[in-house]
Amino acid sequence: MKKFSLIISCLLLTVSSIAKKITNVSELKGDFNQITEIDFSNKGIMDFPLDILKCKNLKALNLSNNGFVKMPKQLSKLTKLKSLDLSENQNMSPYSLKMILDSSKFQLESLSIANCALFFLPNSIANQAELKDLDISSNYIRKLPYEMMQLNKLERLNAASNQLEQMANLCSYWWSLKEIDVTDNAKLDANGLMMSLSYMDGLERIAISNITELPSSFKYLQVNDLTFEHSTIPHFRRRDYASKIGRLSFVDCNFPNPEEVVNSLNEHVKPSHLTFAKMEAQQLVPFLSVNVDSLVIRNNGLSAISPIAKMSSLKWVDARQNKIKQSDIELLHKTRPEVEIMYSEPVQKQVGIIPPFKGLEPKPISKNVIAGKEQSVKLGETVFEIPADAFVDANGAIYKGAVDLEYTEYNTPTDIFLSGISMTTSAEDGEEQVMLSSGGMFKIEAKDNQGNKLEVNADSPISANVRTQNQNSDMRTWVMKDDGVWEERGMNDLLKLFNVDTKELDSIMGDNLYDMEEDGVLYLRDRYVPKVKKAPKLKEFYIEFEKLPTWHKKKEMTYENGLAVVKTREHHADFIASQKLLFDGDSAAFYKETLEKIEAACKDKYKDLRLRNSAYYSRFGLNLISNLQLKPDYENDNLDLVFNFKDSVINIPVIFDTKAKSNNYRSKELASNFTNYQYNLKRYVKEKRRNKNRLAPFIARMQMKIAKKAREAEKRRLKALERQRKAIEKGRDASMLRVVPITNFGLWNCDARSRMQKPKKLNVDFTHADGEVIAEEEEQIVVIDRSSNGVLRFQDRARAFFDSNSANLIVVFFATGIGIFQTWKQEIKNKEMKLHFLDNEEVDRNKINRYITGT
Amino acid sequence: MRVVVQISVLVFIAYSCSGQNRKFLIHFNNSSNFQHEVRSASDARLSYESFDEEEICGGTIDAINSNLLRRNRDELRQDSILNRLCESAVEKFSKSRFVYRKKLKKELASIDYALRLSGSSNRMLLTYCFRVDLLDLVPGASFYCNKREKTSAIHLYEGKAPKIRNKEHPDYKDPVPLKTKTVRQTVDEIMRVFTSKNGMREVNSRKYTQVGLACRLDDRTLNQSKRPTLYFTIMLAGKQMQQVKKKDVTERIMRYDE
Repeated sequence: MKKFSLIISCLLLTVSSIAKKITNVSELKGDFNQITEIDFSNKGIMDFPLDILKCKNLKALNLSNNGFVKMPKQLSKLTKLKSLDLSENQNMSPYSLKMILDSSKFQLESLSIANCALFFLPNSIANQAELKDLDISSNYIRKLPYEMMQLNKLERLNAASNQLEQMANLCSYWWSLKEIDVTDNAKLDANGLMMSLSYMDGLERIAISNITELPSSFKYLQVNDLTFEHSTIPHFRRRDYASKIGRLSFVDCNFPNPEEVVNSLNEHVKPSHLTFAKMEAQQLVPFLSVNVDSLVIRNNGLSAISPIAKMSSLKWVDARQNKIKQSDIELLHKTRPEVEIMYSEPVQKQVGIIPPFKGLEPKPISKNVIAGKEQSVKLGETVFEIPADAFVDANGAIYKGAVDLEYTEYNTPTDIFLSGISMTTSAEDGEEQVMLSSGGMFKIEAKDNQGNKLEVNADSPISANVRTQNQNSDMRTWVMKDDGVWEERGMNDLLKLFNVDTKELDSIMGDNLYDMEEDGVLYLRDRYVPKVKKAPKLKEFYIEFEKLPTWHKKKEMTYENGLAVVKTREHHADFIASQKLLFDGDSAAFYKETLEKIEAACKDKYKDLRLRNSAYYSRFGLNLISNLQLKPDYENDNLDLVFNFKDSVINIPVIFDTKAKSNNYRSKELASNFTNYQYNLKRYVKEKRRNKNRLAPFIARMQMKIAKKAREAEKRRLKALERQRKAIEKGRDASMLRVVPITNFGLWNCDARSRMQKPKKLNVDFTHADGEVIAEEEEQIVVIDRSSNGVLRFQDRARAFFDSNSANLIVVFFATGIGIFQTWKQEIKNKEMKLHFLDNEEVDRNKINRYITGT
Repeated sequence: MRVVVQISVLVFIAYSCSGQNRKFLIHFNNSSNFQHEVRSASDARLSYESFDEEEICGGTIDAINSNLLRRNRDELRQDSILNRLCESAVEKFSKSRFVYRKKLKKELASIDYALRLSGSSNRMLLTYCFRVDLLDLVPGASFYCNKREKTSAIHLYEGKAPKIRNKEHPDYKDPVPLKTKTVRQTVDEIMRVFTSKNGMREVNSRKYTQVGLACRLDDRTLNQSKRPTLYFTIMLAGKQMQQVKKKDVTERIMRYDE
């Protein structure tokens, strides 16, 4: 009996702990503890669904592309949350995000707040110590909070398309960083950032733009994939024994001294993969002498390719999207037969609809409507706006009566694959075949009572609002002709319901709030300049600090023109300045040089600040050295002298210069000196607190002013959002729609011509899961591109390609069944592709869907 | 002429001193880390052929630590860097450094420098270099060396050298062979010298936590009418910051302030 009860309790436990994923708001019910993953992306949510808060075991929450403004504070209590995606929520209140991060009890590993119209990042983002992936791209962020230096585990950062100015200092604290993308930040100090990145280990990918000069430390940079965009590269200096850069890309770059760059590439960098894009042909000529295996020269407007025959080590060239003549390509083939050239998209032409499995095609939905009145009809995930005289019969006369609408939609890669609809078309200029990447496809037909086909009245077309996940705004509308070829019908409107006009955003106040408080009080400090003196022993030196006093009044605090001026006496810094510190560590020459440079920089900047006929210096102007401190370092048995010089933190191992001759007395003297230092530090802290108390009413008044301004700004912003939300019709269940004007019934598609980013040949042996080679000849190979929603068909493996940059499902058709390969999960080893084999009888829709979605 | 000779002599002395310093540092730089195996000293006699320095060093550490344990103090830990330093000192220092404390003081700067070079985290260092007598004979007693006699392994015999060496002579007396000390006796002798130099008082003061030691047989005292001796170096190291309070007051104050 005991055993039986144990088994039953175990079974109950396992049933209750089944993880559940939810993709519709209506599914949010039942046992909330089972729900571990929620995906409510593109659902047109205007009010935050509060039931989410009941899901205590939630691990992943995707609320991207919606229209809610505020998020409840209680969201921060979902302790098990690991992944949070709030991207594409332009209506979202930044204060709401700040509140959640401030009081967070979760430790996120992945956070995406891309394209949320944010003007600042909350400081409390630094509390997410486990954060590995952070996406803050396409915002208006000017500076990252300095607390972010605590994110030691950050591996991937996407900060592209922002207004960042300085992040070199922060970067040097992210020891785990592997990938960083900071392109399209026009004001960013890219040179400084590159200097910080040069000293880091373990970097895999860097994408950076607006470089004007590579720093001297660039020679130490260790990275596998480096991309420069819109940059000027005067030189490319590397060390002899510097690590290789495998993939090197230049997009719209300028080379004042191309010969120097080429020499460096050949001698030190030795890249295996070189990419040039958006550049002129003449700029590329000097690079003909680079020794490289693979060359990508896509989209450069080239008219000739034969000069690359000079490149002796070349094996593979990708020269698509250029205007190269066929004769030129043949000439290159003759001179260099061993070089593989890709000059057109590796896609085979497909026409019409050929379903791969009979009976598994998506099933149509039927609906009866009465023609003759304006109406809105929802079929599947598409809303049709039907005008009064929308239907005509075979004679062209306007039809008014009962209409039977038949609708089929093909939105997912599974639907597109099982429907067998061809997804290729010719390029804009020429016969080159390219793949169509779908943003929504459907088939609609109408019949009258007798079953006769009806047509659309060309004078009053039906408007279809198609729900789409694809944000590509360059998509066009296509319709399939009777011969099975896609015909282009112009652009379609991409409607993002909750996109906000940036001019109406007052979130910029958020940034000002912080600045106003800092600008209201002027803290004065004495300046200190380090000095290096020679010590009697070899390679040792003394460090002393010279004090440059600024304050000669007795009062510690005054008010001048609405500005509070506070003198901060740094007693502990005074004490350090009175001491002689002896350097105590390795690399003495390096530290000595650094300190001498700091001394020279300080003297240079401070010389104009000295008051005339006085020993005092001006209260205004810069203070390069701050936060002078001594810290005991028990591990190395000495002290650490720490201070800030500009943005960087300087840390030097030192020891007090003692007069004692014996060990015993030296130890005692050290202790007494450090006690004195701490006593002075306490005095400083006391004084600071006293000043803070005196300042409190002044700051309170200022904060009230700020709060008033912020409230007004937030009210204005909410009013603007309210107007926008009222304009949106209720009942919409999507945030992103495509408006397609339908002029005739049939198969309609919102598509963009897409090209493979990294084409890879599929010339491999197919094997079973146990490694046994499949002797059977393949009948057809289908490549389902999950990322771009497209399907390609190839007749044999020799001509088949797939894009290794995106997630593909490769389906190989044999006479007895099909073999399936998932490129995002599996790897091709030794030119062998291990297929999951399914017999023809085993194939069903759910299995195919599971393989495609990877569940 | 006289002045030139004086200057050249001074230059030679200075060169030879700096050379010795350099040799020590080079030897230290080339040496690798090692630790002695700690074991109690045995009663086996020392022999020149199979002289086991490891046993003496291990026995000394055992003796010091057992002394500390008796007083309920923490044991000294062996430090491989200190061991290396001692090894270099024993190998490269001249005899005078082991005899006169004043001469040893000259080398302390280079030992400190070597310690810092090695990246040791203990900066308070105490060095003892001394010699230990290995002959199992009362100090001051006469003895002589005779390599023709095979009865003593170390060719040393008690008393004064006999005038009659013919065995068939009626007044001939058999020589009394001498022996080296046992390992235990040697360790006891080391401890005696170490204690006499106030070494044990420093060990008991709890200021030092690390120990390193090395020894070498003096080749010039073997197979001669000299008492065989051992060069011995022992170094104690501890934290110079030990009297600075362990609590990180600086951090605490700043944190409270924020």
